[in-house]
Amino acid sequence: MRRRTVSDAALATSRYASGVRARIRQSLPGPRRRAGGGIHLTAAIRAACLVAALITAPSPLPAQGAAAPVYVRTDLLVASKYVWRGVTRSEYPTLQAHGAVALRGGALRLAGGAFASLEPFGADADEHTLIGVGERGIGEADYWGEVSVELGEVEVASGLLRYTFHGDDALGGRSSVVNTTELFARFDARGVSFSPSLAAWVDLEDVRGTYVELRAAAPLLGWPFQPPGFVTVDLELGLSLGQALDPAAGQRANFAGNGPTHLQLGVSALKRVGPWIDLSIGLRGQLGFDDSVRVGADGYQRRLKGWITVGTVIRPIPRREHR
Amino acid sequence: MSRALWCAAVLGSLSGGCSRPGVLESLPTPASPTPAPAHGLRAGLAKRDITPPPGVGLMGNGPEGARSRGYRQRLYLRAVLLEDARGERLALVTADLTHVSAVLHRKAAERLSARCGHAGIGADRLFISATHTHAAPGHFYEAANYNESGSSVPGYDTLIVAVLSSKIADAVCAADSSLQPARLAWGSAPVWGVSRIRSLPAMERNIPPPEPLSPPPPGLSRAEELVNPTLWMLRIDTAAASPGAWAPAGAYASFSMHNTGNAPSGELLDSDIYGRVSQLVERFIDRQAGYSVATSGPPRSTFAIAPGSHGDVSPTWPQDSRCPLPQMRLSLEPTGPLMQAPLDWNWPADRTLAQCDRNARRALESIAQRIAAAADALHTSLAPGSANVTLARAFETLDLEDSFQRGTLCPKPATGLSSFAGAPDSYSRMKGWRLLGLFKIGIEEPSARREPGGCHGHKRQLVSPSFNYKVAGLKLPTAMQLAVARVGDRLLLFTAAEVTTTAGHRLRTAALQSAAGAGVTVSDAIPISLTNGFVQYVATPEEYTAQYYEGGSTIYGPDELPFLAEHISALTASLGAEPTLVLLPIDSRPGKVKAVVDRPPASVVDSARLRPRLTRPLWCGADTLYAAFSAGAPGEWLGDAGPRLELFERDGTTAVAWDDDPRVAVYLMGGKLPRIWQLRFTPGNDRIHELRLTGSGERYRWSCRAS
Repeated sequence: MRRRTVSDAALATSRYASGVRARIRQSLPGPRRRAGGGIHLTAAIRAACLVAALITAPSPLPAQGAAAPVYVRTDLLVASKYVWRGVTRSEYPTLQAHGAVALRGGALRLAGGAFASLEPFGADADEHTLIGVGERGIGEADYWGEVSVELGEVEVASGLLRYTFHGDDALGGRSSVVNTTELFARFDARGVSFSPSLAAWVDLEDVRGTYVELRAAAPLLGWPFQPPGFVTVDLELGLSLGQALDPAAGQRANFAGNGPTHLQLGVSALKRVGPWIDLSIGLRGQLGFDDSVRVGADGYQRRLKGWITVGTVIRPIPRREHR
Repeated sequence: MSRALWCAAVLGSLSGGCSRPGVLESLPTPASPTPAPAHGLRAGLAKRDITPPPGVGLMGNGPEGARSRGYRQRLYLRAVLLEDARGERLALVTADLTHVSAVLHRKAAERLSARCGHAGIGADRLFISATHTHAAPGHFYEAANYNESGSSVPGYDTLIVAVLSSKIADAVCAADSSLQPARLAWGSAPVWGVSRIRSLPAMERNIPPPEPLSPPPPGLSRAEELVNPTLWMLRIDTAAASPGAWAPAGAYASFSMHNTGNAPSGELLDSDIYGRVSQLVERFIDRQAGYSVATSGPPRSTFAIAPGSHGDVSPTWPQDSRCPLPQMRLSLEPTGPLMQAPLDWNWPADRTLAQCDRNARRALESIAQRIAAAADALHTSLAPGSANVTLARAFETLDLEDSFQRGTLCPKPATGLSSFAGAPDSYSRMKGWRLLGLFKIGIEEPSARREPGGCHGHKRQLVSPSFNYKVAGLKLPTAMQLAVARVGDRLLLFTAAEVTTTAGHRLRTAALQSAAGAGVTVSDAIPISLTNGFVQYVATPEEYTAQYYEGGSTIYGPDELPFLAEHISALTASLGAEPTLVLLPIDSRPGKVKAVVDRPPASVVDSARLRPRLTRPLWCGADTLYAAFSAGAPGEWLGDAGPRLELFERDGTTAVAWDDDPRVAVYLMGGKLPRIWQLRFTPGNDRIHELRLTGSGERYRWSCRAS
């Protein structure tokens, strides 16, 4: 990959990270698979137990369907990279878990959930990591709650999202120092065949400005027979509106500059294997515009990147298939 | 409906998943024995309940055909066995099924030979016609395409094949056992205003332009005027108890209309309009015969009704009986701000679906009442008839892919893109499909090529003819069974396809001309569709150019009708000398074999445990009475045991309904041994005060009064 010019902010970040990694690389005995942080693995085990309990708990609730009052959904995912708004946060395979519960009454829906990203292998010094180079465990755990209203074929949602990080700054990870909360709003047009969606996030703590994301998901195939399946193409465009680094202001930033951050194209296939379980696979490619999106932990810029996800959706309340 | 598009895109030609399915078996060729002289005209009639356990896919609406959750009107076989003085025999069977397959026909004939060979009915004398309800099981076709995509539940089930073929054989054997001296009378009457041409622009392309077949009453639309309104009826009277007296025993009839009164979004097994007509006419005939008329329990007489040239004819269902289809949209499941919502099929609200169902039921009942009233009047107008009736038949198996046939039919079958879209009775969710949500690819009705190309002419195909053939055509049928039967002075023209109105008229004309030329004395010819197999549709060459659903589903090209007319003519002509009998083996390539229907428990279960019992008190909601009861085991077919539950007036003796009634819906709610069911009874004007669970001796009274 050819080295390109980067902005000062990104370069500074990159040089800092490279420096840390170089020091770590010198101090570690082997190239990979170092001893993990026990405390993080304990957290991982706790999270796994929680998910397992959710999955296996007998449910007295009726099957969830189009008009079900209660939804419960658990996503378990293996991703070859963890990419957040175009920015690579973990540059090697991670396990991700996401659980969500929603209560529905008429057009109103209350939902909440949690997300965790676990780095099970330990990153090398030239890889982005949340937990820290050589460490293993949950690098990020987020919690969210939202209220949404269906207005005909349109859904409008708003809520709060809390990010917590469990990495080690000294090892190139993200620590609780950068924990933050965002207010978000989302607008989904369900009545349009390519399902356009517009979402905006505003950081309530140190990061100023707004991040806006435009998405569209078009069906390439929809298997209408039992069990159903879908192949979807989706396009995502990120925009930084004031979330750029401003050295004069001294606050944290999510991106190096303002404007388009990245354009992402994804193809995903989902197959429902029963009322309880879906299987999915996704391929994603990204064209980076913002330096923070393009720069790697090794200091090199990569305008294009790609990753793959394989996962399953588990529903403690079985889904009602037809109608 | 075909899953070719999906098969093509998901599997492609690389995986081999879309190749021709392997041969499961070669279907038997049980021919009839040589008739022995008999003692005058005799007839036997019988009925068998073929309602399967819930769980089967409701065949005929493609992906919109739900997995059945229960039943409303039960499904029946009705068998009429006729024997003339020379010993010639014909078995005319109607089945409350969407279609009949060659598998069912041949296996039933084989079982019939084994079980009651003395009935003298081989495959060449057995004519099984489907009543074409779209609320009945499939899973029994020799062509994989229909097992895979006829409903949302794919699979070929050997148990369904075994049970249905056994019951067909059983019904004919029972008819044979009940043979009695008989008199037959043919008649017909028009029934206007209950049906309409659903593909009028295609029909208007015919040369000469279509005209009403008989003078219509005023006030009808052109689509209603151009149908074939004729209700044909063969009244059957058998010897009564007192010597020299005759009693009406039933009738065999035909009417040209899709049996699709139910909403396609329905979830219950149901015999639809013709099932209701049969119920009503059978009770009428029972009264005529002087039988005690009990409204709980099946009628004694048999009224079998077969579909005529109905390919382009819908009942006059109202538009609001067809619900919006599920749409592929972002899932309603919560994904929050961190995950991307997947796509999902988003269904209309349950309330919307229930309203469509209710609207459809109302129209269905009205249409059935009108046809039944006409049938009652026609039955009454026919005298007991004549004992001097002779029978004959000619039968042929056509290998449609045989090189011998080339030059007439296309050598390779193909479904058009309009076939993916569905017909107005039940459009498919694939209709109007756009690639990436933006680009139309032709899944529309109509969907014709501007300029004809290749053997399939105006038919638009998926990607290319060779691709379409590889992914879908290889799973289509390659053989058709064709037959002509003569009953007195009428010809019955049996085809395995759904013949359009004009196509049926042309078959009739061809048969009558051929009969006149061969010295076969007949007064009329009646096309009967969907008999002894299923090879989709037959449209006229002119209709084919429009590529409406019927043209897109005429799978062997624009000249299928002339080809069939030629063979029908030849079969008819053979009746004047030595009737044709060509009974060839047919390869069954059903695709994936699956246990679709529940299997019975492996061990013997105490029958007392399976008797119906109330499990939850009766309760009322709006105009519907509810009750939960337990009965039966998984895999149990309702059979001929009669009512499971009956509903009575306050006096406890006047029965008003049982679980074979359009007002009674029975849903399977779960349970193993026994199963748990829910009764929903919408009584209309009846005041019902007692529910009786048959077999348990239990009676339940309730105080709420549905209005």
